Amino acid sequence: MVKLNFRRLRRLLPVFLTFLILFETVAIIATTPKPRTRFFEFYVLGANGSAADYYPNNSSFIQTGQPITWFLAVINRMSSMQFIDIRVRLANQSLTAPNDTTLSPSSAPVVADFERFIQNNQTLKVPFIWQVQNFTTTSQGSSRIVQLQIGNVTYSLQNAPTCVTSCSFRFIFELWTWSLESSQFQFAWWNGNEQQIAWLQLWFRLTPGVP
Amino acid sequence: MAASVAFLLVVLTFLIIYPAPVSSQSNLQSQQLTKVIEDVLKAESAGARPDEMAKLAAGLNDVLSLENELQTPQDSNKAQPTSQIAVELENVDTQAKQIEIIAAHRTFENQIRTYLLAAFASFLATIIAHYALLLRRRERVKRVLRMKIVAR
Repeated sequence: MVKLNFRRLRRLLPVFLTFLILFETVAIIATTPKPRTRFFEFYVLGANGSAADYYPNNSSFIQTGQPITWFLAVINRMSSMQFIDIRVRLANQSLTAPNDTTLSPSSAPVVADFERFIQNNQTLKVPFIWQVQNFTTTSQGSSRIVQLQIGNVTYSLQNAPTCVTSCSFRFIFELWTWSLESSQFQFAWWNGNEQQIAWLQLWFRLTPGVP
Repeated sequence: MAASVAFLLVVLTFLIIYPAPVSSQSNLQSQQLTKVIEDVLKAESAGARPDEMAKLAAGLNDVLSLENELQTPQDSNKAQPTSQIAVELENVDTQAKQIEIIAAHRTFENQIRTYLLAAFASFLATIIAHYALLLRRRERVKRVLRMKIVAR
């Protein structure tokens, strides 16, 4: 074994310092959190939990009292826990959908909403079981949903949109996030310096009997 | 004297007509909720583990369930859920603060451990480099000693 005398130690000191700087730099890089793209994944699944079977018998013609099961799914990729609100709007063809450029929500009335806290990198699945319980049709041929059941709650719709013959209704699902600055939900979230929104829509038609 | 009495009357009338603005209960609750969320996020950024965050998220989702109960029109006894919400929020806040302290301590320990490990690795690397150089020099010396001087 070679003895490490003072001269040798002095000679080894620069080598040790070089290695120290190198390894500590690696340690700092490894322990510093990296900036990541912040986003949500937002999608709707059909009754079987897959991207199919959205409507019974694969027909978007819905009868009154016919229950339809969808799953609203959100994956949080925001690098932190989020407080989200999925707002469900009932719209016809003429009401405006959310605008991806101006980042404004739809003008359709909100019929229900689902507020949840969702952890980072976690998937939230909300069952959305709904049925049209009652709708009216005028002599001009326009129809309006007056009673809608979502989950166990029945909603009597006062200002629901009307739809003329052969037009379609749609559910618009908007993803809102809680803003700590304003203490309220906001439609868009921040990813660095840019704002992003997430929304979905599913169309359906009303039929009094079997289509 | 009359002027001061008149002024006092005007002030009193003004105070009676315009009472001091009082924040609504829901507004207070939303402020409390924001504060709790801030504390939960602080715990997360301090390095709380996913299982700890799951506990906090579950507590906050329980608060939302209570709030939904409160909003149900059939519910006649609303005083109880309101106080329950406040208690539940307080519990989550306390948990979040505790987790933040533990997580911050753990993160600090982990960082110190990582930096010490890096220092130890550099020490080992220095020793290895030193002995590698030594071995190389010895081999060179051996090779030189094995050399023969051949007269031409």
